[in-house]
Amino acid sequence: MRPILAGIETEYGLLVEGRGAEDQVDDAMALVRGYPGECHVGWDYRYESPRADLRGFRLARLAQDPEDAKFDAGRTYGEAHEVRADRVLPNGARLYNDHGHPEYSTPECRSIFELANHDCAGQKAILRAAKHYSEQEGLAVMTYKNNTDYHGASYGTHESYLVPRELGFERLFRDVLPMMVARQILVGAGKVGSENSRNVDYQLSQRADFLTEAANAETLYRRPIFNTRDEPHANTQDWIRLHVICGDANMISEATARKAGLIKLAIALAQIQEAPLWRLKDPVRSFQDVSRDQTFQFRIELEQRSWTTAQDVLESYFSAAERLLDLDDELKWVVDSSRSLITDLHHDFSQFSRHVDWAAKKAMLTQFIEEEGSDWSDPHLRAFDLEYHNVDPEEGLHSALEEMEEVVPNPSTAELLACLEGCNETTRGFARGLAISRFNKQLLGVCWRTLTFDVDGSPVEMDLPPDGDYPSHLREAVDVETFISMLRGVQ
Amino acid sequence: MTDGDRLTRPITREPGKKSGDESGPSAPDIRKPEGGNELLRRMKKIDPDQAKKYRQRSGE
Repeated sequence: MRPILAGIETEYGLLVEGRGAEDQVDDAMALVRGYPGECHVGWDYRYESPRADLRGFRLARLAQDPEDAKFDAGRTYGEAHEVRADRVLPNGARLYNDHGHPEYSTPECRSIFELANHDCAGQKAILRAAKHYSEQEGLAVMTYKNNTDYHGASYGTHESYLVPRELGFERLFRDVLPMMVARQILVGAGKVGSENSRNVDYQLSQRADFLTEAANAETLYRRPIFNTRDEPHANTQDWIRLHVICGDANMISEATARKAGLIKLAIALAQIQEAPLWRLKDPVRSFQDVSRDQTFQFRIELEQRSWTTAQDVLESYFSAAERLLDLDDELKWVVDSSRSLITDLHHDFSQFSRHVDWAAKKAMLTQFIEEEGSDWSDPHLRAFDLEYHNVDPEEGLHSALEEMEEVVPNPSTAELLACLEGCNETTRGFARGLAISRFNKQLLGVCWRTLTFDVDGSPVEMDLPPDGDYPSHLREAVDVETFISMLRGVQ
Repeated sequence: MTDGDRLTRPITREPGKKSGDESGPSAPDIRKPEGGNELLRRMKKIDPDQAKKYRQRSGE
């Protein structure tokens, strides 16, 4: 089977000494603008369509969180594109300010492990920018790869998967939604407490409390499990970008790879119309029930008074994939390693917690509770939860667990810094990155879909087919005309 | 929660049968991580009110 192109965009939490949420847009904008590495400045917004819905209509406007809007009272910002402060890096990634959050969007990847590496490299890019901003302002600046502030504000880690338009909303929704609900038992990041009316000590997912509908096109408010935004960043006739917004930011890089691999399994089965058929009675309720179930039964209510478990849902995808798909090595790893983890969850939690963020965090907090004679109402626990996600390797608690070999290691710093310099896979992210590192002076516009060059005073726009195989000898182009000529040959 | 039957397999494209297994998996024995010097050193430095003070803009 042909690998599915994917990307991950992560909005980082930002805490600047002496500053509040009302200052966050200004801080994030300044932080991104100060990114000290090589980059292209700007973004071509012509192809953005966040209000288009896969179900065939367009929203008049996107809903805003009324509580959050209060932070903007009496404040004025510049033009939207100036506030976003877009930077495009030599690996084809995008760094910008999204609603007050520094956001790193990976280049498009075919391999789930490359994707996980680039997602992890984003932490280094954010850290670079944060350290620069800290030195510039003389203030402590902390950045967190998480999805909640514990006060009711959430920010996303979104996955994007390129799928043929012919799959359509109905099939994708039916075939991928059960996977979205079930996979959190293996890839949730974990959270102390809750941020809606149902109290709980600890839960698997950082996002579950913020999901209110099964499907819609919103992302800022009334968030859905299945996002129907129709913005393919490619030819609309041919492609859908499945925009997954219900997942968590993972600190364990292996979990990032598994998170993407599980969705790819569901998409691949949808493509051959063989995905397991589960009719969930109330998907939002099930997502939250699974997230909150510390008995680890993970029961999911089905239509017609039946029920199942998240483990059985996952196994149904695994067995169908083994039976019906020509799995590549990566997806075989997803199936095999996930099965082992489900066994370990119930029989060897110390092994399970080496690979799964929510479990690593829970083991760490449980140790504290036992040693201090404390309980889950102790405010230290939320502070430790937050600091698990601190991206500074000298400060973060995930990094401490990694140093102590309590969790599987992430890629080395050298590998991650190399990721920021370029893209190994010959995707359009590779071509975009090369354009920036080689021909930035001639670049008039950059976005996911196109590159626009200035050639002898005239704009030349090049479409970047998302499924194209971009030749590695693009590196050898001696001038922009040759580069453009090579791009024209990409099929 | 309903008291209906447990399905361990998805609905087949043709009508499938229900297994009716109510036992479910058992809760795990959570063991704490070994060691802890570096972790404890960092934990001691953390302001217990850090999360209370952490307010963010709502993002996507």
